Amino acid sequence: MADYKEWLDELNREAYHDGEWQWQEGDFTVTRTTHWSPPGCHMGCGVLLYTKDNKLVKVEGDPLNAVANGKLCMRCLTMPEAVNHPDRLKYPLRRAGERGEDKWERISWDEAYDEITEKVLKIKEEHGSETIVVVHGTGRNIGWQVPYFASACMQTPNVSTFGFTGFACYLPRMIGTSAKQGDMFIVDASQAHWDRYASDRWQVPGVILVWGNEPIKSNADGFLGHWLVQCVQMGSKVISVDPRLTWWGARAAFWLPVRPGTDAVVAMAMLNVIIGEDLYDHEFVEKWTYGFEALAERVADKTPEWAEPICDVPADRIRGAARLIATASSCACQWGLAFEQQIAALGVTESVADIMAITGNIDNPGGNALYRCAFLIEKRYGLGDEYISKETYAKKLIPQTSGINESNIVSCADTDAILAAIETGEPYPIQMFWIQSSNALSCASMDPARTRAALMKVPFIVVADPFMTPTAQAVADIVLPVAMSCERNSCRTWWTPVRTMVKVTDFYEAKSDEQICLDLGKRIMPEHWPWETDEEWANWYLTDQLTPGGTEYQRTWWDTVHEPSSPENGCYGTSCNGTAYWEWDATYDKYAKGMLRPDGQPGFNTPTGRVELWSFGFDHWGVDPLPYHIEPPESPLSTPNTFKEFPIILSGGGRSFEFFHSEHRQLPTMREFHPWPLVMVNPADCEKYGVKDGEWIWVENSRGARFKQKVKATIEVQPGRIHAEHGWWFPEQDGAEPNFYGTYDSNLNNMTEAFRTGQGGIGSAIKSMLCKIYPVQEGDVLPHDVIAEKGDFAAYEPGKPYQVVEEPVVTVIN
Amino acid sequence: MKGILINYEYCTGCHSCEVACRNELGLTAGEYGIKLTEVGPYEYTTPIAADTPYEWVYNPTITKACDLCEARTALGKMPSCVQACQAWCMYYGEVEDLAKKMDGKTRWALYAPLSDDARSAMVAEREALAVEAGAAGVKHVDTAAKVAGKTESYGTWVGDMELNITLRGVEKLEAFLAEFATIDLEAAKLDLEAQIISDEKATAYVLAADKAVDGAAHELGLMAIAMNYDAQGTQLGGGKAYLDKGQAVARKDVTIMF
Repeated sequence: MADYKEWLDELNREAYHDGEWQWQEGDFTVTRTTHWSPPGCHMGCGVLLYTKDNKLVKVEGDPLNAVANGKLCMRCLTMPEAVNHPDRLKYPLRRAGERGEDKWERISWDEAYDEITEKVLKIKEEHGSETIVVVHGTGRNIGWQVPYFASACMQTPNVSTFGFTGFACYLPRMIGTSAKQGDMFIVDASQAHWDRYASDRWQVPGVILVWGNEPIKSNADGFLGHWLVQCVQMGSKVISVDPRLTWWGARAAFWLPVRPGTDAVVAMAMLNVIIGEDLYDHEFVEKWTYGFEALAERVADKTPEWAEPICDVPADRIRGAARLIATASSCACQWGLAFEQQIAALGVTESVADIMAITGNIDNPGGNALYRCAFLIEKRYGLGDEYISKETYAKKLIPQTSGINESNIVSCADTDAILAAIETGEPYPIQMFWIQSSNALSCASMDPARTRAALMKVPFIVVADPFMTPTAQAVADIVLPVAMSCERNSCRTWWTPVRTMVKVTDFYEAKSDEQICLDLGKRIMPEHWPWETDEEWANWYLTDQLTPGGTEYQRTWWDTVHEPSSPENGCYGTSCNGTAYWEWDATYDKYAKGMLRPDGQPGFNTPTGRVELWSFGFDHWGVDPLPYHIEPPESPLSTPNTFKEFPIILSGGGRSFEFFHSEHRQLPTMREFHPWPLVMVNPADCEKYGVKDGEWIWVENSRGARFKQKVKATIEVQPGRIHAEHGWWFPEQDGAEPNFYGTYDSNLNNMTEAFRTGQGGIGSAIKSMLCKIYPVQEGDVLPHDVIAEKGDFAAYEPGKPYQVVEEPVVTVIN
Repeated sequence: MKGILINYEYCTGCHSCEVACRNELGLTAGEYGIKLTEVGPYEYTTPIAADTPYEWVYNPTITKACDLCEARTALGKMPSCVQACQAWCMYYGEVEDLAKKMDGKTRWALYAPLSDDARSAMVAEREALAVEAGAAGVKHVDTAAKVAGKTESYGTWVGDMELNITLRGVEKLEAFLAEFATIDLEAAKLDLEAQIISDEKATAYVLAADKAVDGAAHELGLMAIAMNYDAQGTQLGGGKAYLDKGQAVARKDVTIMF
């Protein structure tokens, strides 16, 4: 669609019932709403739900909803398969045998709540509420509900993902940019404008720099990758920094196939070119940045020729890409998870943020916009933590040496500190886990066998999920059935617009995440749960959420569902029922207009009031305040001997259209299109290592940990590098111990480890591990059998990382 | 004449068109109204005049099932594939108008599926052939009717399970009943259903002695093929064994030939 205005003109708004939130089409009731997990993803696309007799029959995208204008992924299009799946949990369950025996008895909600309430009160009294750990997955739908539940019901400061060492997901970029700029930046693909690409405030990006993610498949963090495909159609050029060849690389002006885990080296070399060739934005640097001289000194010797042998990218490509970034009309940097999933997480975040800053691509049209959540309706990790006593809050489990955690910029507890507490009993043993929207064993947890062993020591575990997952099978004492998006009343912002979800069907006794939190909250700490219904709680979230003075939003949840938005009801522009846009996010150059600082002065919300190229925040945390690189713990440079026997670099976790993390594996259409986990191997490596396209192979590391996936022979990966998928389990297999639906057998996290992070406890080297590959043969021992017999692939000491196989010879480069 | 224009330069291979179309047409697994084809990824070693040396492109191909979403467009909506296309590279309209968008700057493909008239004529032609074959008693082997003779299809319920029965060669069953049975065709059909459900591999319809004129059991040979599906429409057994989890059969389609 090169012409959005033309598309809007040709759109027959009446055919899509403009202005209505619910109507009849033949036998169907059609409801205009937003989708959010479960079933999974982060995006919040507008959907039309076709229901009949309390059953979801069909889903379409909503062309009148400007978030996705009716475009919808294959998962939402087949949502009825998930919603109506025979495996969905219908009733609360209590374990009727040992953990892992797959023996369950049905109980009522009252029984479940009674038991949970009794145990929670007892634990609070006898051990302290800090001994309760609340676990969530990625913040997709529970960004505010579960944190509030942790604070205002469980009263614990220990909220976290579990097993997910190094906070290796988005958070490093969030705190990195918060420290350096005061606010997050997000690619400006017109998504803050109610009239999108037709907005006369907006300009298409001159060049899109796609770095460390494949946004078309990942759509991370409220950003729809296909928005950038529109931008390309409208003329944006592309630069792709990615070890893999993707849709972007195949079309890019420059594709930089960086060695996994060395992105900071590329970024420092780009800074070297932009500064050295005097291509930077002088005005922006002089007026709005601090520390330019220190940055220039740091990168003065980091030429592309210096970079090439370290990062495996030809010098002329680095140079060409840097020049294009600096000279394009604007550059928008779509950055992603690879930034966190390396040891140098904060170093690479700093360097790339600096590239955007010195080229003046901060808060400019078609550049990187500074966003806050619409109407200040924050998604709020830490929501309600004022309800936890200071004494208890001080017991939050954080690592000893992390300056970041002490500064409390991260409201979450640290997963490694929790794991150490369980394994060692220090500073205190954990009594309970509440796991809501997380399938840690299949997905987020490093070294899942270790995670499972730890959880077995926790006396009481509750899992809330729509399906019986390997995690629930392995460790749950009570399982609660969670409702899907068409069965819940809820609301959410992620940046902009505000979006509401409305319940149109029921599924047996499943309850929504918010209903469960509300029910238990009212039983355990009623003073903090003054709402009768999920709707009332939603109203509070939209307008109050304990923010002094409230948020800037004045409408109720129902009003937002029911009525389109317009300036008459306090919104920016006009948008369909269930969405509300906010003008602040659609305003550019906010730093010049005094919109960022609490005192209303021009400048950024940082200690110096400027973008800090030398960062006070980083320095305070004990992290290098200028760009730096740290070699992965195992790499061709850092461990050359290991590299001889394990000559391939494994990266993994790239997304696919069919699945959101570990979800969707039981859905027939998704498995029809993507039946098995695929490991990409270059055809030259297939020959070299004797493996074939379509064959199952083992991928194994230096401590003997391995997993098996099916070969996809492709040039998407370079020789010497492979890429495996994450999140795989097989719902069609036996769910009892030791198999747990095969969750260990194709799990690349077998090769990852806890307790090894980058500076400040941030970052985990999971996209750059050394390995070898060889065919699977009849009779090979499967990972789940190794784990059942030995506990894990290698031995470890409580609270400690694995012994290194080889001491690294190259570590920090700065 | 209406058509679909695809600026396939930008197609990202996301499968949304395939799935949206299946939803609209009610197609089952393995069937498509539009299907992606992929070229690449490969790298040209031969010098060509292009932006990059990498070929990697998808081109959705429209199948014979496509009716250009007639019912939707009559209401002013977009065809399902066009509406769902995440790359926003599909357009619907008059073929002459769509052709004007092909500007030579990127790659485009213009699809013109069957027109209504052509489709109606095709279906009418096949039906005519089938009738001819039946009336003359001569087996014309064609795609429409592989088996001559009287065919009856009907659906019914057995508890919660939908049962679809197709009987071919009903005239043989009728002749058999006329000769041996005290029960009529409707009763025999119920009898037959019960027998096939209890044994899908039965090779004959058994007329019990107490339903026979001469008080003795009689058999009429048959061949039965049964296909079972769960509530999602997934076939149970056969090549989809990995999807079998002991689901209940929600639908059974049985074809019986006498």
